Amino acid sequence: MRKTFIFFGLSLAGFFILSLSLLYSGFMDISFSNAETAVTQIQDKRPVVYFGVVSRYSPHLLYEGYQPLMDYLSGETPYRFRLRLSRTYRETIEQLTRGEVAAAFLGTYIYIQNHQEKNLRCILKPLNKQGLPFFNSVIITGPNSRIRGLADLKEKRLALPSPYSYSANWLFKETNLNRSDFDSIRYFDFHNTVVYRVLKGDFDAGVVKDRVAEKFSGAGIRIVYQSAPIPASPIVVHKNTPPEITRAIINALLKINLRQKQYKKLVQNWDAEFQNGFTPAFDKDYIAPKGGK
Amino acid sequence: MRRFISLKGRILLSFGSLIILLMLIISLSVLYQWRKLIIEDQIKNSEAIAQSFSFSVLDALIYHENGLQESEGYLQSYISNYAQQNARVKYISVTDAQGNLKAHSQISALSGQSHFPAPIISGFDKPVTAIFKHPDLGWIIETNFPLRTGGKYWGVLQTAFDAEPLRQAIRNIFFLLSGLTTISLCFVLLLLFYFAGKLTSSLSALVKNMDRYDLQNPIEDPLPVIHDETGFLMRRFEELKNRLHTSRQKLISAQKQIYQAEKLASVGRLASGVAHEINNPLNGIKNCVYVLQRHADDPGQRAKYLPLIDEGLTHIETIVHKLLNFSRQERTKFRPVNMNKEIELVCSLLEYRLNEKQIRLKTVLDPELPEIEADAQLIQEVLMNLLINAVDAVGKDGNIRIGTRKFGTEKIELEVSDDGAGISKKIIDKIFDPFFTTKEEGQGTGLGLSVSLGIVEAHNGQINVKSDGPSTSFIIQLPIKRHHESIID
Repeated sequence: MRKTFIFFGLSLAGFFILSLSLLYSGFMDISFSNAETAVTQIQDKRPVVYFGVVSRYSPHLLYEGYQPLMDYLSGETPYRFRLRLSRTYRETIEQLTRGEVAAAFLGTYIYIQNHQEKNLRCILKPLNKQGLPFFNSVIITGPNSRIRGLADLKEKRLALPSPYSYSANWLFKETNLNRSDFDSIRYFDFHNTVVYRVLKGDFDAGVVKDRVAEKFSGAGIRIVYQSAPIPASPIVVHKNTPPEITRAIINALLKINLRQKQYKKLVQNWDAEFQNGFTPAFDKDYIAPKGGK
Repeated sequence: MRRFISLKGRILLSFGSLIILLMLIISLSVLYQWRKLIIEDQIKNSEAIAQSFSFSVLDALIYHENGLQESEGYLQSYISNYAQQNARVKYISVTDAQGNLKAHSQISALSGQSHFPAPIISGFDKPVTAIFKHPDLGWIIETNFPLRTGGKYWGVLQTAFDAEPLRQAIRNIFFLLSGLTTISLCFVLLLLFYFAGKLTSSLSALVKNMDRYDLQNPIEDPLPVIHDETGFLMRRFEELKNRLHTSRQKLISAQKQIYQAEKLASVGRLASGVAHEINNPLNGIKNCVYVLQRHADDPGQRAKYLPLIDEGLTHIETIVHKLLNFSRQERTKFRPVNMNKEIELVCSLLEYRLNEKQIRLKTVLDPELPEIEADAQLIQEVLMNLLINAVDAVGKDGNIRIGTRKFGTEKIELEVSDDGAGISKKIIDKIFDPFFTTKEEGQGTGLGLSVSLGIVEAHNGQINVKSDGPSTSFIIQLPIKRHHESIID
């Protein structure tokens, strides 16, 4: 009996050690891959159409918000649309005049300033949440600021977006404030940067588009003043832009009907400025507005 | 024959196997889950690093494509510096959407002479991470991170880190859990061994008590008082022992009564011969007394007849003494017995019957026959039974032969044979059955051979019968030394 137990014990121990060894080698082989079957991409040989955009946001953000729109246009037209960024607002105008881009997302201010001289034509403008083709420039402050209105801005540090943007110029054109009323004024490339610097307390106030300010309302940004409705930033073509391309862009973007589920889903990843659809734009719409509140 | 496995062994084997199996399953599951968590954590880490890295890379690619600034140099420096400062980095590369290598942590790889794994170029939206053993770099965890912005595919960022620390972590857990499992298993098995022993100890005590129990020498060997099924079994065993003891006493008593009854039956069958034996000297004494009565004063007559009377009375006394010796109910006891003398005694008791039928009795007794340890009374009864049967079987002028001899070194053999009627094959198997007889009613009890068989077996001997035609032989083998207890004790 004792021999049986010893034999059984030794067999068990041997089996245990053998299993442990096999288990060890199995566990130490950590080979792994979560690769799925790759999708073969079809070579697209359609003509490429470049679409300019003023540098209102950082390049990364521009691609995030504008590339889906390019993909939509590529899907709806016989062209492949690609974004072409620029360092400045003015560079986009030059790209249009040189024919490097067939169309562009321009700012309202720079369009009003240049459309006649540069033979530009607005074709579409985005709608806001109310379904109107306007936006507002707003004066923002940090959460602990004592600024309550225009009167409190004197001798304060002011942050502004690109000097070619409407928001950077509206304050001095449509209110009684002058540049000399401020302690300091600084321009930044992007609207978002203005918000960041105000939040950090580097500046007492800043001016940005209402949509940008709303985006950061949760972070403590307060709006103390806003402009009168400003015509929305237009999509612009040059007079030399092939009309079929212009027509294709207009048709594709006006086709968006947000009452249909497919379009609602489509615009979800687009820049917030374009999520409410488009409406045709005309030069007569782009006259500088007056006043604010 | 099936191998004996004790109850304790069975408990250990079944519960032990079950516990081992359960613990192994639990340990393996924990180990597998733990390993999975570690690997998943590392994969997430790798993908998180690649993702955070991707923002800078994407900006550089965007700036480069839009001609906003010279970014390839910046990208290369960024990657190289990161790789130099992080010892776990095996390599980092950036490949554009067309499959052109834009930057690599190993500058030499830019020339195209690379032994690094090629990145996944396109066709995937989510990071693809793999852990594998590279022939030169060892175990690495590689993430191919697709560079996308707003749906535009820019290329792929490939990061690879040393996976050896991951394996080390798994190794540590493996040994930790294996060690803990082994220790726990040993502990649990020891506990099981202890409790199984405790559970079966009462049963073992019962078995030992049963083994030790001697029906001939019942000694007091009290069992432990246990209040469970084993205790119940023990109490039943105690009751069984008592019943066995009582039954044995009754059996011994009944056996003795049978022996005595059979003995008295034999005496009855001897009675006529004994009466004749006594009658002859009694007639002589009567004649002597008659003569002495007539010549009461004659001293010569007294001197002549008184010795004759004394001789006759002595003869009668001898016969009566022999008969008393045979029929006495003595307490059985084993003592050295000379088989030859016992044969002579029994033959003398049968002398009249033998003479009456003119039967020739031939005794071939071994003078060197050793004494055996036996009960003389019982041996006499066996001899008497066999000889009476032989006398009854043979006719006038028949022959009976009694022989003794040594059988090997440890036994003696006794043979009683006759040339009487023989025993037919039909009944030869039944002759030792109780109450089986071929004699007429009143001539026999049918117990003679049955009792003889019982006595021989009680002496650990054997009795065999052979019948060939008219001759019949009963052969008895008895051990010289008494080496077994028997019911006749």
